[in-house]
Amino acid sequence: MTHPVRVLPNRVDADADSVERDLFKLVLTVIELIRQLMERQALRRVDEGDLSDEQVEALGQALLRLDTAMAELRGRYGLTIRDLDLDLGPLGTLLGD
Amino acid sequence: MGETGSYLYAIAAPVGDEVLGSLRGVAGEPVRAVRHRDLVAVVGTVDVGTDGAFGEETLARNLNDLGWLEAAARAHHAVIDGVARAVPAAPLRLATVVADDDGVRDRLERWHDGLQRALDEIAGRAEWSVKVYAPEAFGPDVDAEPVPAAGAPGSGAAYLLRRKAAATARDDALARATAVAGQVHEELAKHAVDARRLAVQDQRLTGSDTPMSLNGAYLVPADGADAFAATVAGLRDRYADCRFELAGPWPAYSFVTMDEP
Repeated sequence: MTHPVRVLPNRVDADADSVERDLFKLVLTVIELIRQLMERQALRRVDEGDLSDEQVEALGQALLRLDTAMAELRGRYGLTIRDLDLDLGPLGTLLGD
Repeated sequence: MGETGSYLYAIAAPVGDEVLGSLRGVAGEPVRAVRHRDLVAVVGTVDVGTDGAFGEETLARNLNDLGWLEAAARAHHAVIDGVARAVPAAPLRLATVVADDDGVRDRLERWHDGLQRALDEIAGRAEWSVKVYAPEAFGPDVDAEPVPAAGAPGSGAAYLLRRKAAATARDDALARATAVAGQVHEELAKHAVDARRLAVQDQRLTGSDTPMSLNGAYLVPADGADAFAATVAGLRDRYADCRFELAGPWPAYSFVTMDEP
C-alpha cells in the first residue's frame, strides 16, 4: 500500500481561538528554525576562533535574548519546543533534534 | 452486502476448524480455511462493493484514517496470532484482498514451494522484538535550567558555552546509542535462528523522550525463549543507560511476508 497516512485532520477547525493558536504556532516554528540555524552558525564561528571575546559575548547576548523571547511567546499559548516541530515525512522533522 | 472478496490473513500448515471457529476478522466476519494441496489459506469474506469498507476507494480512505487503521491492524493481528499459536503460519500484509476463493487457490499454487520452505523455517519458532532507545543526553538541559538574565556581563558567552555543551551531550548520547544498537543486535543474533534490523520508528510514534536506535526482530525457537529473554536482561544490565523494550512472542511478521508478485 502506498497511500500516505495523513496526520492532519480532513477539516480545519475554524474556531477563532484555535485558528489564532495554530497560526501563532506556525509563525513560532519558522522563527525557531531560523533561531536554531543562527545558533549553529554562531557555535561554528566560535569554534573557528576568529571572533574576539567581545564579539562572542555580543553574539551570545543576542541569541540569549532571542531564546528568552521565544520561551515567553511559547508560554503564552502553552506550547513546548516539541509542539513547534513539523513532520516532513521522509526528510525527517523540520527542527531535527 | 454487495460485491464480496476474499481477505487473506495468513497461509498456514493444515489447521483445525476449532482454531478458526473462535476467530473474527477485520470486518467482524468469521474466518475460514481455503485448502489447496498441503497448505491452508486463512480468509474472511469482506464487502468490496462501492459502499463496502474494502471497496477500492473506500479502502484508500479508510487506510488514511488512523482510527480505522488501528482497529483493522489489531483484528488482522488477532487472527494471525490465533492461527500462529496452533500451527506455523506466514502472515500476509494488512488488506490483502483477492476476488474469490479461486484467486486464493491460484496464489497457493503459485507460492507453494516458497511458502512450504518459509513454513518449515518458522515451525516451532516465534518472533521477538527488541527495541533500544538512546540514553538521556547528560549535561545542561537548556530548557530546564534557569537562564541568567540577558545583559549580565559574561552571560552571552556563558550562554553559547551552555548551548555547545548541550549539543555535544546530545551528539555523544546518539553516538553511544548507535554503538550500543550494533553490539546488542550482534549479540542477540547469536541467540536467534534469524535476525533483522527494521527501520527505527519515529519518536512521535514511540512517545519516547529519546530516539530509538535499534528496532530488531529475532526468530527464536519456542524452547529458546527463556534463554533469549535472559540474554536481553543481561544486555539491559550491561547498557544500563539505554532503555530496552522486549516484546513477543509474535507471528513471524518480519521473516515471512508474502507480497503480491
